[in-house]
Amino acid sequence: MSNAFTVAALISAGRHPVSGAPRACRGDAVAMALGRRMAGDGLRVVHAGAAEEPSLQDYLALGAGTIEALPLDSSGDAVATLAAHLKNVDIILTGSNAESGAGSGLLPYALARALARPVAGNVLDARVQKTAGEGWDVEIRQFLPKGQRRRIGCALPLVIAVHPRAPVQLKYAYARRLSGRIERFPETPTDTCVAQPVWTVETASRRPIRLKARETKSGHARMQAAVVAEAKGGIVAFEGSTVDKAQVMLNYLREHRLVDF
Amino acid sequence: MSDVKRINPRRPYRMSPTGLRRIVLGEIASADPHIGVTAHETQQAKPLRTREPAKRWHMAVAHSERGRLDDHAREAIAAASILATPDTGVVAVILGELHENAGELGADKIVVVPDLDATRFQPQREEAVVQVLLDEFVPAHVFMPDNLRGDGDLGRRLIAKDNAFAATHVIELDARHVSVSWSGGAEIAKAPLPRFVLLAPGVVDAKLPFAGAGELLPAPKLPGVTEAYRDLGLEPTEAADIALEEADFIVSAGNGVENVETLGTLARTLGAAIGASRVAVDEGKFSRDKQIGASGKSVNATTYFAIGISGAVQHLQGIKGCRHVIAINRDGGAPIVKRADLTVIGDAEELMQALITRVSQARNQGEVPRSKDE
Amino acid sequence: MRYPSIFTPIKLNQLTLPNRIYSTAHAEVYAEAGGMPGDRYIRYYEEKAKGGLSMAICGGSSPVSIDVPQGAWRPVNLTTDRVIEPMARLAETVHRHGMKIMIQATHMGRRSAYAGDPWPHLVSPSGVREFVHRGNAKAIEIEDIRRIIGDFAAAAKRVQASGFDGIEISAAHQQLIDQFWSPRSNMRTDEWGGSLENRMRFGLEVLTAVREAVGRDFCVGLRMCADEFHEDGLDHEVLKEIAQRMCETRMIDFFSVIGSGADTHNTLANCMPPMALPPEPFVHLAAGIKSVVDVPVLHAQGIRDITQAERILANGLVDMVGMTRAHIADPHIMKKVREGREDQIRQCVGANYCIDRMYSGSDTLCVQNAATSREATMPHVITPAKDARKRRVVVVGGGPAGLEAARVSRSRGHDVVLFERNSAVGGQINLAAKAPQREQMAGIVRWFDLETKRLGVDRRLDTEATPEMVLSEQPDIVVLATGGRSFTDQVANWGAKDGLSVSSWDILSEKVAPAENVLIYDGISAHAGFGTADFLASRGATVEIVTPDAKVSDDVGGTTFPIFYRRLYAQGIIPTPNFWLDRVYAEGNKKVAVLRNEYTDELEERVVDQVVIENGITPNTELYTSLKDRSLNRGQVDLASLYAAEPQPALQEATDGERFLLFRVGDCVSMHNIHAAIYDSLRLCKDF
Repeated sequence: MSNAFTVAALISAGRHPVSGAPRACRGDAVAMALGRRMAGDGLRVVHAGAAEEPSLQDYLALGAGTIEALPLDSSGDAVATLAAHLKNVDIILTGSNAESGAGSGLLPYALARALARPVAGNVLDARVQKTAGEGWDVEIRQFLPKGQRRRIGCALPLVIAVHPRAPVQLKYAYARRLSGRIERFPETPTDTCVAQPVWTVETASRRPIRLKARETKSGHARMQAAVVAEAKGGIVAFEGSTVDKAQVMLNYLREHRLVDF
Repeated sequence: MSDVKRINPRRPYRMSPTGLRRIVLGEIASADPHIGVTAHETQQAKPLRTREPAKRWHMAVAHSERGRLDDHAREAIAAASILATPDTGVVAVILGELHENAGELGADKIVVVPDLDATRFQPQREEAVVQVLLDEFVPAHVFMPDNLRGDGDLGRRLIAKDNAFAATHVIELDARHVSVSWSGGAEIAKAPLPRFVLLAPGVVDAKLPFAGAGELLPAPKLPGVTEAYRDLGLEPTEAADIALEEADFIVSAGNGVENVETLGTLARTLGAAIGASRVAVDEGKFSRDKQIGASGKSVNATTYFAIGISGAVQHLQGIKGCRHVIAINRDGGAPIVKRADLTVIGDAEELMQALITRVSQARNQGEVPRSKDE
Repeated sequence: MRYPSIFTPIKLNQLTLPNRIYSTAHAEVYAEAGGMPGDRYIRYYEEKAKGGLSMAICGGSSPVSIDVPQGAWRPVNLTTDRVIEPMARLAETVHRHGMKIMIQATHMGRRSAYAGDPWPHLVSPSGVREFVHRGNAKAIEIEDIRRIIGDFAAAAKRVQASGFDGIEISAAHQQLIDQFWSPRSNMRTDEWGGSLENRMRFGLEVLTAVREAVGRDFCVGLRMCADEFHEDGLDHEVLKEIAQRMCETRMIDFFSVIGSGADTHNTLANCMPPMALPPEPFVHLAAGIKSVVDVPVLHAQGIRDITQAERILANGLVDMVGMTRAHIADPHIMKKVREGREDQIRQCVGANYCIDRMYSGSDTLCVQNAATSREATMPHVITPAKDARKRRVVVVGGGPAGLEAARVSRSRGHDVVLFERNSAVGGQINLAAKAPQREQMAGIVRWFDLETKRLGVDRRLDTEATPEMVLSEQPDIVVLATGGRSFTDQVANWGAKDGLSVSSWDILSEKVAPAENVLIYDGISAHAGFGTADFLASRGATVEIVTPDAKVSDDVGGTTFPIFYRRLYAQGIIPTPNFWLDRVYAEGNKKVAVLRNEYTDELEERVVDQVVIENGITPNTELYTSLKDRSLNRGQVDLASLYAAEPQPALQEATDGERFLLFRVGDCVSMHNIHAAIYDSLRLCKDF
């Protein structure tokens, strides 16, 4: 497939949630697979970090082909490094959250901001089409809760954060792991922006404490809150014909905007 | 009439000055004896969180859903108010319509922007509107629900723009710090409470013993923004395809439903997913994966129709997260009546048929619903 | 895997458990004389081990000191080395099936009654009396404290020596350790009272002594409450503080957390949540403790379903789920789950027959499983009869007795016909389930319904069996379980025939609508009387409940009457104990109930709109009478064989359809409860 637009997928080091063993970050692998579908062999696969990262092998097996490894300078600012490296790429795909480290889901937004381009999150699918003019346009299918899906159109360039449930197939092949390669790029100095605060990281051993307003409730009230399931009860319609009662239900649905008719 | 003593076993009482029931021994009848059931407790209004003028601000930003705030959005406002000192005000910015009192949720000032509804995708306008408010209030901390309904997206846009330290997926917070889980939950990372706090669901108890002042402010004018995105709309969803846990509208059947086909028709008419009580599943009318309740699935639908379901505690456990419960039941004394916002007493089959007819009419004729005064 | 969280192994100190379901410590009331676990005790736990449970903690409230009376609940006696050998047998038996076992150790302080061997003076921090057990106690002296700390260590050593996998120290339900914690029972001003640090001193010294006795690698857990729900007691925040400090000592390998205090009737009823409470009512409290400790948190209370347990574990609320009553109802839950046979699990319904018996000093039995704790004689799994020939068994009546008779007979490999005159099986349980917050009684029927269908019992519903119909089935054995009918005609003056009074059945079955002002007369004091009163009140009636017993619902047990009383007072139902109903007469459109005081014989009247009578049942004997003479055994059960759990001698006789055996079970003999009805059938039919 030859394209007049360019696509890159960003991949990060993944860790198995239980064993901690290095592996491809599932969300990033899904983004890479979506990129492959959009750009075929033209997809660039980029890793901000050391070429020695063991999980990169997993991405090769999943069909990364060539991975561009960008070593981070001492400031470790992946956004600046990636922005500099990818400024000419039309579509940048990322996973939604990294598996190792913070996994804040902020990277695609920060990267879009650095490149002054739009960003779309929770993307299930993206298809590029030629516009009436010379440009390219992408139609995105976005995941929303409660079974809803939205379609969004956007001109290139843009950043797409892919939802982990994007319908792609991940195929693992040992042969591709052998044939793939990792291309090391030299370290590029970047302007360090904000000093990130220091996160103190520890093993998760206890359950988080829920934030709760200080409240003095009597012992009996605390007990009642736990043991009484019944609520107060709402409106009860005894009277009228079944048609009247159907109308009561419809009125309720409309009054609370639960239906749009 | 016999010569046997006739006794009213309910002892007459009067109300004491402190509002307690007082029984005076030896008194046969008082002038105004209250007889019978204990008087219901009067619902007292919650006290205000603070009466001090605000010197600084906490802000909570969230989208509404059908004019109401979901638990997650409530938690964001609650966090803003629980962590506020007496001289800190809480401003809630609600994107989309709001038909409930945000003061009770802890907000002192409320800005509602009805045009920025979550059903539409207009992130740049949202960003611009919130920016106006951020500039106006300069809040020390901004709390948002980290959800997929647009708040997580908007929050990240604001964070990227602010280029400041922020925390997302926050699982624990107090006045000084936030914790987020790293590496898929294996680690916990702590940091000082940042300016932008995107909260994971369930991290805050939204039940507050106090209220905010709840002053409604005019919405800021929507800045003229040209969106880079074109919202092509929501896809029509086939309710039957949606997993029950995700469904927003559920019609659910108990053993009071004889005719499963009618239920199916009703579900299609309303665009709802189908659920069932354990009894109905046991009877073989529905598959096990439709079962709702403690021993089945927990659902969070905005609208839940409980048809012919008596509402045993086990079932009620599974629908705790449902916002509007509408019950159809033959028995006005069934426990579901206490849980339901609306109960219609009658035969399930007849009422389902009537509702199907009425809803189909309303849909097909595109009739204009009677406007209700808000 | 369908229950990934349940089947994720977990480590408690050096122990690795293959799944996260366990059975918590409860008072079994099975120990033999002197507090020794004997054959019955061991078989009870062996059955859970066979069923695939990962761990059981046995011996609820097993005392470490000799000044704790042991008569009431027959706990395991940890005060003597003699216990080591029988405990070792228990440990060895369950280990053979791969189950771990621990025991709960405690000093109950004031939580007992002195009036029994060894007639001690009970001890508590400040000598404040305990209400529930009428626990008069002296203020504990320093010498007692030292002695008891030493007793804990010695008991822990015995537990370790017996090959047990661990010990759970109880500081829950207001035992001596939490009597020290709670300002409700500790008003001391010395170093054992006052500040939290002082109030925690006793518990910390106990744990230090225990840990020194058993070493670093032996599993030691602490059971504690996470909110006493008392104004002057310990609330959640203080108990979190206690848990955190306890955890920081690194002496504790797990916390087992419960909600609710237990030293009043009303709080005690929460501890083993009955069916009226919502599922897992206190899991949020256990989760609160889990937010301040970094060792596993275990929690039981109202978790009766495997899906529910999986959801709680998956949400990370706690690390292990206790399903204790669930395993009393069905010790084979885990096996059935692994084999994908969830629908065959006999699910606990929270009827609390088990615990209500325990609180009256009786052995723990299950309302719906008569084999539990009778493993020596009653099988949990019915196997087909080996050499006996296939018989034709006709069971009449689909209540609990008839359902169990049909299930057991069918499982023995016989052809079974079940006649039921109603359109659904269940009998009186279906009525019991109509009472407010008693709906889960229907869960008992659910299992029998599913099982009799699965096993292929030939169920003839909507069929009232006549003698001819029974005989035309050419039966070898006829089991009558025809139950009874509401016994409102015991006293003609009640006017049931003339419509002056109606029965509790009429009300619960909705045959008769509740009137406005209702007097209900409860001559039985079991669940049906108050259930009917509650049904009436919850539908808006003004209700007075009258009973000749000393108190309303006198016969429902310690964890059930508080639930009833909550609803009684909340709905303004008037309790009138100590009165008989003499007669009912009409006056205009009103009914007048004449009551007679049990102790003065004085009469008084109530003018009401409706009189409802709950007077139990009188047996349906018609079918029995007409079949009795035609049967080989004249309808007689050989009692000696029955009570010895041996086959009925009459089974030796040749039967051929013309010549058949006739037996009766349950209410159609005389009024019995659900457990008794089921036991009647199990012990009779297991040898068919």
